[in-house]
Amino acid sequence: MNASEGTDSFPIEGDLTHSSAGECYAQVVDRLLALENTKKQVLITSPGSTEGKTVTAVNLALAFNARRIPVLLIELSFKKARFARIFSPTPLAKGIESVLSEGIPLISTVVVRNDNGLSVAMVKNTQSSDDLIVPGPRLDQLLKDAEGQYLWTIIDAPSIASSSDIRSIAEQVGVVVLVARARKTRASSLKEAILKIAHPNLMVLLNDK
Amino acid sequence: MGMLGTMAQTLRRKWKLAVASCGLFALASIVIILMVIHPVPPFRSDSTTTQRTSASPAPGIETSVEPADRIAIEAAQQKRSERRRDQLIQLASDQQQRQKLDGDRQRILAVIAAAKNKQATPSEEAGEASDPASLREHLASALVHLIMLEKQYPNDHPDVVAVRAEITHVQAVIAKGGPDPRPAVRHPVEPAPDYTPQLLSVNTAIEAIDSKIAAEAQQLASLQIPEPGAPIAVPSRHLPTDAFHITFPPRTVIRPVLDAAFVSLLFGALFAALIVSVSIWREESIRDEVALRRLLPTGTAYIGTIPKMRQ
Repeated sequence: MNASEGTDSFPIEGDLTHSSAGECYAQVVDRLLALENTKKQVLITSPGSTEGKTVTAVNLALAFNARRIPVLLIELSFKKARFARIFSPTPLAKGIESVLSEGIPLISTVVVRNDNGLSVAMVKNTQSSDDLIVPGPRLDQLLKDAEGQYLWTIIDAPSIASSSDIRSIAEQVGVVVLVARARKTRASSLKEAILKIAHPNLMVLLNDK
Repeated sequence: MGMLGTMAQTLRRKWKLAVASCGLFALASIVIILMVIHPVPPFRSDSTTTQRTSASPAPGIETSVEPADRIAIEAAQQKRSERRRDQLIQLASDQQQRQKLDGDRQRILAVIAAAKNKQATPSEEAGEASDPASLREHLASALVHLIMLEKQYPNDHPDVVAVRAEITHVQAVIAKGGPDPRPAVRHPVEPAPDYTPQLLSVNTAIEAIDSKIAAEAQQLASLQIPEPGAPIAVPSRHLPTDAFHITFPPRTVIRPVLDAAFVSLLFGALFAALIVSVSIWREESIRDEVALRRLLPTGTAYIGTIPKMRQ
């Protein structure tokens, strides 16, 4: 099954080797793999909304997966959950939100796609807010479980503007990728976001050039 | 919610610009509005000059004229001037009517006197006829009598016809320059007509028109307009109004200032919204890799540009 099925208007690249965008994501993966002495967990966020976080997270996960690197794609955007539209809804009874709200193990919410073997922990029920993303033992446990079971973890997080706890999560991951969209993201917003995140491994990706 | 969040975010970033533009616009608007509402009169050195009141019976009492009051005073003066002109026209018309009534009264009195003479000395009529001066006097009184009769009766009334015939006869006698050889027409001795009702009526009319003229003259006196440049009597807010002729009620001058401030702030807010919108629109978004790299501080890595994907 192609990853782009059921995605509506989401431009998810299924075959990364046959598109210019796929080449670019592959180069980003190279940059990430070149990092040393860092936790192999990547937080994808952006200064504002609709700047391409989810597309970037999914395509990066697919790029890792294409190289046979064990990767887990986690959806932490509870308010604007998109994975169900991209990959089709999870067949499991509970989603990633239950890990944070009920404390169930992360592995019980992970689904593996049949077509490419990509592991995804997606939201089952969209929440009214992103309040579940609060620093605490459950979030720590989630990240710890992901790190223990997968080599790389790609976390699709809400934008900095919509969640105040992004910095707390950022402090626990190895890399933060800040996504900016060409001709949309304002310079001042990006500067603000960079100052707010203040992560030693902060990387900026320009989308839709 | 998203739109409100964006607006809040924008305001957070641009609040200084919004406040500055709103304040500047409001300030400029207030100044302009106050200049329009309260123009500085050319004949005054400042807005707090005190002026002596010309119509005030108490000398030395001074009152200040606010700029807004000045406008109202001028409007009131204009109205007074128009009313005065109308009163003058009415007064002239009434005086003309009065003169006419006076003439009527004189004529009635003459007729009454003539009738009395005729009644008192009927035997002298022949003698009068022989005297040219008496004849002319007789002709005049007959003419007055004819006028009065013509007002009361139609032309074919016996009295009118008789008086007319008498006038013709007297005129003919005067034209001949001598006494009429013909024996004088002897009128039957008639009781003198009673002209008292006409006289009373005219007198009543004269009294009425006199009182009307007096009232109009009084009104005209109250509508006196000060000469141009002369100080104006205005009611003072600080002194008893008994000594003044109040032309209009005092008004509160603070209201226009509040209105001006409110309107200015309202339009200032709109202006600020416009400025902020333009500023945001003009704010440079990240267009390409070069612009992005220029923004990034040291320690932040640029990891690539993803081209636009098409499905």
